[in-house]
Amino acid sequence: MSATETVQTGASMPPEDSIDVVVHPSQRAILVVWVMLILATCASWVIGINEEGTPGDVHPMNTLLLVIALAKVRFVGIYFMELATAPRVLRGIFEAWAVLAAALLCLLYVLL
Amino acid sequence: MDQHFTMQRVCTWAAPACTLVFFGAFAIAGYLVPPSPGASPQETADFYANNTDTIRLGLVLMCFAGGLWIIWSAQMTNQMLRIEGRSAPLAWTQLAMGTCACIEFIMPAYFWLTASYRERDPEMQQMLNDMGWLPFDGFVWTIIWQNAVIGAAVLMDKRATPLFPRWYGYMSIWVAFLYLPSGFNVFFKDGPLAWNGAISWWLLLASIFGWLMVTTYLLLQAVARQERETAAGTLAGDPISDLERRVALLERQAQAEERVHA
Amino acid sequence: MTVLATESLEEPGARVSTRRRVPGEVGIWVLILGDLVVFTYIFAVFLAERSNEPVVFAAGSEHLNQNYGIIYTLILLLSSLYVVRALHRLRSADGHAAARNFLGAFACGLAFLALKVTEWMHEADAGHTLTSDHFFTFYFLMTGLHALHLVIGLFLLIYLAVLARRPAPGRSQWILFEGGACFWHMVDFLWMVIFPLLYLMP
Repeated sequence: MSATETVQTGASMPPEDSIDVVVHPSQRAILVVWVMLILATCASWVIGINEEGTPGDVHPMNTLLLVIALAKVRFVGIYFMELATAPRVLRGIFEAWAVLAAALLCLLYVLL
Repeated sequence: MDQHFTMQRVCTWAAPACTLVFFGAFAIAGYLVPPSPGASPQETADFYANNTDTIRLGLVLMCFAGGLWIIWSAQMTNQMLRIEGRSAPLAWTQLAMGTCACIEFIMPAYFWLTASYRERDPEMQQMLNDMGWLPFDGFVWTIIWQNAVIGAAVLMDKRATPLFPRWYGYMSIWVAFLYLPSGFNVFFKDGPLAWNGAISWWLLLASIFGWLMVTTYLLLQAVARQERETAAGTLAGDPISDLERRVALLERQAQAEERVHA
Repeated sequence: MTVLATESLEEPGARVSTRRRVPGEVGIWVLILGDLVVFTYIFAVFLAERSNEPVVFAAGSEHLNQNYGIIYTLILLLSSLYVVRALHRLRSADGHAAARNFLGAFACGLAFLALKVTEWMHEADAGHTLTSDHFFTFYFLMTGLHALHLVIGLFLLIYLAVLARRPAPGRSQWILFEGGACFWHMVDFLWMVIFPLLYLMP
């Protein structure tokens, strides 16, 4: 029988001989984002270890920690996981999830 | 060669039927929201004493879901054979695992039915209740593998356009992991991993039946494609029809040679 | 050899293509997005349980070492950077440098795992186990599930390092490189949410 392709025709492949170029963020941009993530992590830690209060209280700072965390996730997705150059639907779903998760977790924290 | 498309479809619909029967029957029995493992023996005994008829009816109906599970599993193996061909360890594993899964529905039901059968010591009723709930949640040891081999087979498909989309292979394997925590419900009497917990029960239900719906849809697609390709004569990669086509080709060649030499 | 030209968005006259592609393949994203939904569900359940027993949860969180917490996060961030670099090297057709970067990420992951196991043993010694109280059920459940992903990621990274050293990666290899990289980044960012939930919020 005729030989059929043995590999999956995936939706994403680096072009072999095409002129089309997928433009990824530069390594410099990535490094900048990475440094910002490190700083955001340290900032969260500083906020966290300096928190005082009684259990059961709602601390506005904690919602900030959650928001920072999901913002970091979003940046990892866009820059590291290359969603910047992904189809808009995929990127949209990811960003929507980041926002919804942040909102849901903050709401649960505050309301419960 | 008759591919029995209608029967394949019927068998595929066993999966949504299983889902409907399961949820309906469990709702009748009052089991959809599981009792707490922390309930006292007396509370458990009271539950069985006060709801005897609905419990019996619901659980007996639920046993049908067990048989229906095997029917769709067999159809899945039928399609997996098209991926693997004659040497098909994964397809047969899937069938065996699916068959065992039937026990996961029926055996616990009979422990509960036994509890509903007579009035007994509350301690004994609690034991029968436990004997049903622990495995009902926790008996994931076959469905994990059922999912895993389906996923593996899907990802191994070497066709240009695979029989099932590749994301379904990933999803099946991933869902197998979601089943895993429920197996540990025996360690807990409360919390998310207890038999009535957010993870051991609710996540398990959502995973199994959510995945089953996706599976139903994709199985129907696969049958439809098989039908189209058979009609167009382009059914490729199917080991039996490949053989038939080669034989037909050889016969035509032999006939052509005869005419030439005649 | 497959070479993907990468141009900086900041270079003047850069050719900007309208072409968009799914990193890895769709299946990986079904897995990643699915995992995100399930973990978000677990986080939500965690917060709900927490409101039922604020004292227990606060005490449990106090007991955890916050310094460990931030070290974990920084280690994983570093490992993600290694993975990004590895892909960059692959696109510049430098397989050996890419392999080194994958191994760097692996080393970070291994360090994370070693620290985590030490922390678990420490907690167990202090009498905190999966069943001792609800906070620690969630602690071990969340860090355990995360560690499971991490271990799978470690195997992936080794495999990618080996694959990177082979010449001329084809389509299915690229799916693995990109998909595997995305999986590792997911391991990183799942921890980014677990860290404040368990370690920082009293």
